[in-house]
Amino acid sequence: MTIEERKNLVIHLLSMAHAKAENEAEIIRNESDPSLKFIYEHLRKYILAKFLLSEDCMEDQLQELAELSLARSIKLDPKMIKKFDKAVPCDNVSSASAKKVMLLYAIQKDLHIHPDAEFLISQKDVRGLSVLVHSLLQ
Amino acid sequence: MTEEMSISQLEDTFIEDINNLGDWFLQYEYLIEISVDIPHIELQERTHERKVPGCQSGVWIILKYVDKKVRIRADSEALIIRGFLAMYVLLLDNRTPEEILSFHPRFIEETNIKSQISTDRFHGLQSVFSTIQDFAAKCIETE
Repeated sequence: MTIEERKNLVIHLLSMAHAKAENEAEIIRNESDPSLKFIYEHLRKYILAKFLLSEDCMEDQLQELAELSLARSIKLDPKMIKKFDKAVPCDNVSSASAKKVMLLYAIQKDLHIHPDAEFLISQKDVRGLSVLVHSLLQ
Repeated sequence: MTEEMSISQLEDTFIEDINNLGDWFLQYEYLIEISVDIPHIELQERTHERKVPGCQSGVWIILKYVDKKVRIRADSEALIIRGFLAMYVLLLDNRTPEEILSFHPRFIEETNIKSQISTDRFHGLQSVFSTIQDFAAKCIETE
């Protein structure tokens, strides 16, 4: 595969995932009185799309999802990702942790919500995050 | 198609891709995805001499001059840095020293990448490019 073909494939994948995540965010935004179950269902789909993971992924922990996403991107066995993705002296943040933080920032932006930053970052799983989003959309 | 592109033309396509993606979440994923095909530098090859100074993350670079072209392998223990290194490798590997010396990278300045990376990382990336250009200059001197 040439550089151009590789780049085009990556752009295509990212654009598809972006459109899917945008669609899920729009569904959540447009629901006037969403239930917690509704938020969880669509937020989960949004997160899986952002992380380029398939909808049959059963993981609920955000850090684990970020690691699975990285493993997919770099074509590595998910069991190896913790060893490979080392925290480094630059900012002592692993790539998976950086992806998790970027996801949380994207959720704020795409759902037009303004949670307390510390509380947002403290969320560990999709279920907890759904509760937070649900309370902010009430 | 790629073989016919100058470094600058190829860089234009990277800049266009990154700017079209728009947000850092997608750009970050893009950089990591394009780094996948860049060969790793094995642990035993990561010597002190090959470590790029100025990078707080471990960055190693192996440069060779083969058939009048500069061959580049680069690696880092930080995935996002591997993404940036992939840009340099894809742009500059298998180019003549003259091509490398006349190139002035724009992809950090002409995208929002600079606003997303720390000053230390920015200087580290500049150090990587300087290392490659210094090697290219030495290749010409020894001709």
